[in-house]
Amino acid sequence: MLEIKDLKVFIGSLYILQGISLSVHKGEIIYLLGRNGAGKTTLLKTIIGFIKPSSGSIAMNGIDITREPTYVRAKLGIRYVPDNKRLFMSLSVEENLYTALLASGLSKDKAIERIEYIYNVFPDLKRLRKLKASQLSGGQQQMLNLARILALPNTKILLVDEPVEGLSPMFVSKILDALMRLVEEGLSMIIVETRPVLMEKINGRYIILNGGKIVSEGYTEDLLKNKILIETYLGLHKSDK
Amino acid sequence: MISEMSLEIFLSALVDGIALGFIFLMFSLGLSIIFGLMRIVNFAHGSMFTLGAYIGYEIASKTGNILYGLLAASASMALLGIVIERFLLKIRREPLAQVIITIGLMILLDRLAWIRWGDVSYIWYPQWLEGVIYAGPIIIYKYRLFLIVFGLFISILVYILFTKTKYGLFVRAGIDDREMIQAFGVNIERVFTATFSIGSMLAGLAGFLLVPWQGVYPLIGTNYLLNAFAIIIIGGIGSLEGTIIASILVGIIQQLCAYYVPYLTEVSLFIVMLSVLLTKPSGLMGKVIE
Repeated sequence: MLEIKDLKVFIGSLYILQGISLSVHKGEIIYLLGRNGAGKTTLLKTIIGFIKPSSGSIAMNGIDITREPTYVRAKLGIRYVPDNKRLFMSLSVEENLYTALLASGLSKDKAIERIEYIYNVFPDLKRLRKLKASQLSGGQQQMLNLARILALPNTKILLVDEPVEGLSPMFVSKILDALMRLVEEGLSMIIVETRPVLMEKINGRYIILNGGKIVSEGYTEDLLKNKILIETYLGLHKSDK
Repeated sequence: MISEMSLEIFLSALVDGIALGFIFLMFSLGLSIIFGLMRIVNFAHGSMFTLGAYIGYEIASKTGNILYGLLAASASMALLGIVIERFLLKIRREPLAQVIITIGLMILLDRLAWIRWGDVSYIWYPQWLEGVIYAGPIIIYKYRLFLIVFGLFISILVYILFTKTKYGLFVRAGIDDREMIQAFGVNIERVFTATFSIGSMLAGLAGFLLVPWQGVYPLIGTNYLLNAFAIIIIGGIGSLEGTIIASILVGIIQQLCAYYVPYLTEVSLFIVMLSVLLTKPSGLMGKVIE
């Protein structure tokens, strides 16, 4: 479905990505791992089109999208859930959902229908719907961040950047439920994690980046048994988890 | 007796201030939206005010109808806005390049206006808006009352546009996060063009509305540009509500100064700006920009 070939990204004089190649198939979960500065977020931003690659190619369902603007990629079903909860902070919770739905091409009536569906999945958001996004707690913001995506039609692949980082266990469980729901719907995902929290719950493939290069890849079940790999590239000891 | 006179003068100044405030509002709102969404400091905004004033004056004085003047001023500037955005600003999206492009445009448009209309002031007003009306002891110029009513009407339209429509929602979301709104499927280039066009239209409209009050002369818009910059700083950069409040506030303060302490009229704007910046650096309704 998503095919990345020899992707290289320069930012200033730095090589952030040094020839990344990967394929994501329908319904596949890929965990992107690595220490800070490894290039994980840059890779997601390059796939969604925020960053232009220096060379290499990105194709979605056989269509070359390397030079396409972000909105074209979104229309093809590539969705991005950023780590820093980039909500529309001056808009209310409901306006955030409504904006995302209208932007994705839904009619006003359909958008209102979808918002009701989201309120069923996240009842907390219904209670908070009149509040501005900036007035929510970190966990609530992340819930809205994911809910916006969950509401969208025609999603094919989800790029999720550190979805549970810094959240309390209660919110981690809610986010996990939401992601599980998307997995059941057959969505493909690339999930950035710095700590193996989600991959312990949802199996998939992993890719470890270091210095902008893929240094290891395989299946998460194998990775979780490999203490050396986890300690070397994720900087975690068993007690950290 | 003295206190009654003072109250009459005060209330007349207040009405004039609100009228001027609505002109500032239309002018600043365009600048504020363009900056908020596109991060462009549009130095040519004042030139559009001037051009709108001249074109509106030409049409209104020939037809004798203010409505045609309003339509000509707003439509011509909306069109010019589209041309500038699509063919000039699109070339380079970097902030510095865009500042240089708009400064170049400011010089070009001001010079073209000067060549066409010369170094002369023009004034025109509709017959039916001549004279004054008396509201009790207060004397109100009919045209200034018209400005308040028309300004309020345009402000409500703009407010509805930005709060109740899909386009407005995208603009407000884009002001918050320009990248993320694209990630949901919005072609931001189209929103940019529409926004620049609406901003330019408002500048042209404001320019023409000032003609019956202060006339039009070379560089009038560029002179007022400084006021508009100060207003959006006072209101909070990128904040629609802030721009509305600051425009009316500055209009009132300037007119009160003009009545009571004329030598402070020009500088009053900057006193207000400094006071606001010292107490609330992000402006009255602004958010902290990281």
